[in-house]
Amino acid sequence: MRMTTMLVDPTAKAASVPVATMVERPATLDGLVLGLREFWAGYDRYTAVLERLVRERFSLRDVERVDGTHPRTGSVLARWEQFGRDVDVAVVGFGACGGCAPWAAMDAMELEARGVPTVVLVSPELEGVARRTSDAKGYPLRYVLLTQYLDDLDEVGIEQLAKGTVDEIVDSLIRPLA
Amino acid sequence: MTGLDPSLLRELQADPTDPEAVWEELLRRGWSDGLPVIPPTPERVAQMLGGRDPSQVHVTLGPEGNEATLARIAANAVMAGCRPEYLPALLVALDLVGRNGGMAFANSPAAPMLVFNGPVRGELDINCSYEMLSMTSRANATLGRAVRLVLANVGGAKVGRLFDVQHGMPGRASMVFGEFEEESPWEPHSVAAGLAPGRSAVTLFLATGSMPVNYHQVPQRASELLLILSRCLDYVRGNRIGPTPDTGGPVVVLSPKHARAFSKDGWTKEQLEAALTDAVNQHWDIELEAHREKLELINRGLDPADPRMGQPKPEGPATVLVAGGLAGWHSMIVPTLAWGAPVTAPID
Repeated sequence: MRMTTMLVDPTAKAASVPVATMVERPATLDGLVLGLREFWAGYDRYTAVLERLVRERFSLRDVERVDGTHPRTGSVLARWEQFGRDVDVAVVGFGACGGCAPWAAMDAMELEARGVPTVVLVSPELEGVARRTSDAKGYPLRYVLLTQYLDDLDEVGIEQLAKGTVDEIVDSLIRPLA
Repeated sequence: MTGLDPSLLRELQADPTDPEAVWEELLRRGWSDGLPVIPPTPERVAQMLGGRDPSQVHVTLGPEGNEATLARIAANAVMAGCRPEYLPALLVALDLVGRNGGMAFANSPAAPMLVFNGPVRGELDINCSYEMLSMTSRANATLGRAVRLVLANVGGAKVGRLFDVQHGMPGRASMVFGEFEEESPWEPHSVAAGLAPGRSAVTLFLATGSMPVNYHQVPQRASELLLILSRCLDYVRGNRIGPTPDTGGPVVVLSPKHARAFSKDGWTKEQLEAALTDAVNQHWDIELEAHREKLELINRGLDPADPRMGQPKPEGPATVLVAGGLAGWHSMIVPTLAWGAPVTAPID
C-alpha cells in the first residue's frame, strides 16, 4: 500500500507580473536613427563593423552611440535620456558579465518603455541571468548571442562575428511582434 | 486543527514513517538544500508558529518581491531544524535580510552572517566560543540554515531562477555566532550600533568568507598583532571588480586573548577599528593595466566637465567583534561584500 505524507509547502512562486508592452517594430530601418549602447572591452570594434554592415543594407538617417556608464546621474543621465529621445531603434550590449548582462537588459527595458525597439546582445553564458532580469519585469525582450570571448577576436574574427549576427539583429528590430 | 490554510498543504507520495523516502521526495521537489530536513508537517509548523497568524506577510524577499508569510517561514524553520523558540530571532534576521540583504541574492558568494548580542545568546544557546562557526551547535547551525532555506524557497535564490552564483561557499549554509561579550574588554557591537546595553539584538553582515589570523607570540604585543591583521587585509585591498572594490568594510573577529592584548595596551575598540580601516585604505596601490582600461572605459562615458573617476577605496569601516574559544591566539577576518553595510536590530 502506498502511503502519503501531508506537508506545508515552504515555497513561494515568483510573483506574477503583467506582460509589458513591447514597441511595435518598424518595417524597415531605412530613414531611421540606429542607437548603439556600448559597454565592454573591444565591443566598439564589433559595433563599428555592425554599423557598416547595417548601412550596406539600409539607408540609415544616422547612428548614435552612448556609453553604458554608471552611475547615471547629472549630465550622464541627461545624455542617456537624450539618446533615448534621439534614436529610433537600438542595439544594447554587451552583456558578458554577471552585472553587465542584467544591466543591459534593464537598459533595453528602459528604451522599450521610451518607445524605442531594442535588441540586447549578451553572451551565451549570461543569457539566463539577462532573460530572468527581463522576465521579472514582464518584458519579452529579444536577445542575440555573441561569443563570451569577444575581446579575444582579431579583426578577421570580429568581421566574421558581425557578418554572422547582423541579420538576426536586424530581424529582431524589424520583425513584427507576435 | 492547526489553523493552516488548506491551500498550503501538499500531499507527498511517501511513507511518513520512512524518513529517507520523505527526504527524497522533498529533494525531488527542490525544497531541501541537499541535507536531510525535518518534514514540515502541519502540526510541526503550527507549533513553530506558536499561535501567530500564518497568513501574515512578514517580509518580501528578492527581486521578484515574493511574500514570506509566517507559514512559509515557519515551514522552512521546521525543515532547518529550528526550535520554536528560535522563531522571534529568525523573524528579526529575515527582516534585516529583506531590508538590507538584497546583495545576498546577487551573483556573489555572500552569506547572510548573523551575529547575536545580549541575553538571546543564552536563551537560545547560541555559541560564542569554540567552533562557533562549525555548525556544531544547534542554534548556530539551524538559524542560518533557516535563513538560507527561506531565501531559496521563498526568495528564489536558486541557480536557474534568479542569479547564478559562480562558486558559492560553505558559509551560505549557515554563518551564525554570538559575540562573546563576557570575555570582551569593550562594549558589545549592538551597543556600538546604538542599542541599549543588555538588549538582545542581531546584526546582519554580508560575509564572503573567513580567514584565520594567527599570532602566538608571548608576550602578546598589540603593535605586532595589528601589523599581522593589517597584512591579512591585503585580500580586501586586492579583490576588485576592475578598479572598484568587491569587498566592503571587513569584520575582524578577535579571539578573547587577542582582544585582551589590545585592551591591555590601551586600545579602545574605536581606535582599533579606525586603525584597521586605515590599514585597508593604505597601500591602495595595486595598479593593473586592466584597471586602467576599465577606468578609461568608464571615464569615456563621462562628460568632459565631470570629474574623472579614480580608483575607489572600499566603503565602510572595519568592524571589530570579540568571539571564539578562550584558549587560542587565533583571530579571524571576515571579508564582506561591497555595497552591503551591516545592519542591527533588537530582538524583543
